[in-house]
Amino acid sequence: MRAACLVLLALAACAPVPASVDTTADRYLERRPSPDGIVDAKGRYQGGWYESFTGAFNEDHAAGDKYNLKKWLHVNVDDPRFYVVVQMVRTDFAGNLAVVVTDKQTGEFKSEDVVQMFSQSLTADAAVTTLADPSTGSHMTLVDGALDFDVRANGLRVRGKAHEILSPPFVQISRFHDGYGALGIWGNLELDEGTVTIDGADTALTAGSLGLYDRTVGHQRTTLNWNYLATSGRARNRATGELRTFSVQGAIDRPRSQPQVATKDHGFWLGDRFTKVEELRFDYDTDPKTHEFGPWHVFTPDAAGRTARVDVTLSPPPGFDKLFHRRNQSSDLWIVERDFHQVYGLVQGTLELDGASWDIEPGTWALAEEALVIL
Amino acid sequence: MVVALALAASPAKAHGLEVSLGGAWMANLYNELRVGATDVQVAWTHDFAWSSLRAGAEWLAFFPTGHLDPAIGLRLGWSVFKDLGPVRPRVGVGVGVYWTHASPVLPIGYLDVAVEKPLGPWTIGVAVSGMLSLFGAGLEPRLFVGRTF
Repeated sequence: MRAACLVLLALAACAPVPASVDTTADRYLERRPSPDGIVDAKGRYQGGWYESFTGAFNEDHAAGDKYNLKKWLHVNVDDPRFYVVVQMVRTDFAGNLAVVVTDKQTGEFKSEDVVQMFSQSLTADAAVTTLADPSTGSHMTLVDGALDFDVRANGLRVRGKAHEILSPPFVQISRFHDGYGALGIWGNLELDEGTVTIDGADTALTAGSLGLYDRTVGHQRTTLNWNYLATSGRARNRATGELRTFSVQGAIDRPRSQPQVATKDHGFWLGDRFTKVEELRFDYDTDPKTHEFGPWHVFTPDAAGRTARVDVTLSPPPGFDKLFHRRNQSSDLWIVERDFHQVYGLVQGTLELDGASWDIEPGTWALAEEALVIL
Repeated sequence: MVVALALAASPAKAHGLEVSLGGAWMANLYNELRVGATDVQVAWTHDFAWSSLRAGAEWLAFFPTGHLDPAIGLRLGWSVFKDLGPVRPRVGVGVGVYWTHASPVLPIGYLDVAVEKPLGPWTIGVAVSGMLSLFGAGLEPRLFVGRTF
């Protein structure tokens, strides 16, 4: 494939990518037992929502081009002082380490993004449970529900230990066009201990802080355009007053993703029960001049037969008139282009499940994204 | 898009200098990225009986999403030519090695086609190079002026 492209010097995209993918066969709203592998004998991703994943990490046998194979472990921690995001990413030709620390008191971002183009320093095992980068001294391991991480990027460092909560995680293989897809395992964490290091000064993270992880491996689409929401905390049953730990994670394709695939990557945990929501919409205004955002309304439209719904709104933190907003717009030659918006704020709203309403407790934070990545 | 100025050799077995200005356009073979650039080259040239050698410095200024992303490097090329009286077409191959923000060593291979018009010690011409590099291919049209010494 690659050789053919090079011979032809195809100046347009070589492989025809469909505009959309029919997901009927993947039954994304029906949780099923684990498949025997990420891809089948023909190299196609075995799309579906699964109870767990006990099959083979055989992504190397996928029919998709190796160029598109990516692995990452991404962790958020919602500390009372900081909102922390760390990730390590392995692609065919590059490694990436990113650390973002948001000071909730000031709205100040500390952000470092190390792209190791054409380097194999950063390594990830097939199952994406162990990532290491000797050049920066960074590592992340997630084994048997225990997370150990230490991510260092240009002097900004976040390290810590955490354990998994709200188990089991959300497990899904999303199938894109032929030979392309990804296994995503999304789970939740409670921090045991940790430290943020900014300009050489250490600040301890608070034990018991909640967080989440995204452990993904697969052949990604080359044009990715998404919205994403992540929040966790406590929610109170409006009728009984019962308090439970909750988490919401959800992503949808925006128009530029190609192909468009309705993988239904959205749902919430209430205690140890994960429930998908059939639909998730992101509604917000963007100032075309400043690219600042108004409040984000993220919700599941009411419809007959829907027993699970999310209806939350992200608003500016107290004392601020805008959501905390970080934009990372960058590109490298003809190789990669990114336009990445992250907003942070307080979230209010309700989770509805089986006729019960659960109100999110005041003071809960959320992260939302609007992103375009062409890689 | 293109302005050219060069100092190069037109007679056979002559040394010269050549300056060219032009543009470039690269397409990623895997994704939808298409990126334009401006191009400046200064090269030493040497003509043999039926071929010529070029070695020089090149500054490619790519403009992905509105910002400058330069590629600065050295380029070596060899081409065969045929004198047809008023013009001298040549075809050749080349290779360049560049420093970029993305990669400290970025190779680009070239397939060069050019037509020169000798004007005494001066030469003017137009050249187009096919470009092949990591994950991408493209075109690089430019005008050049050369002069012998």
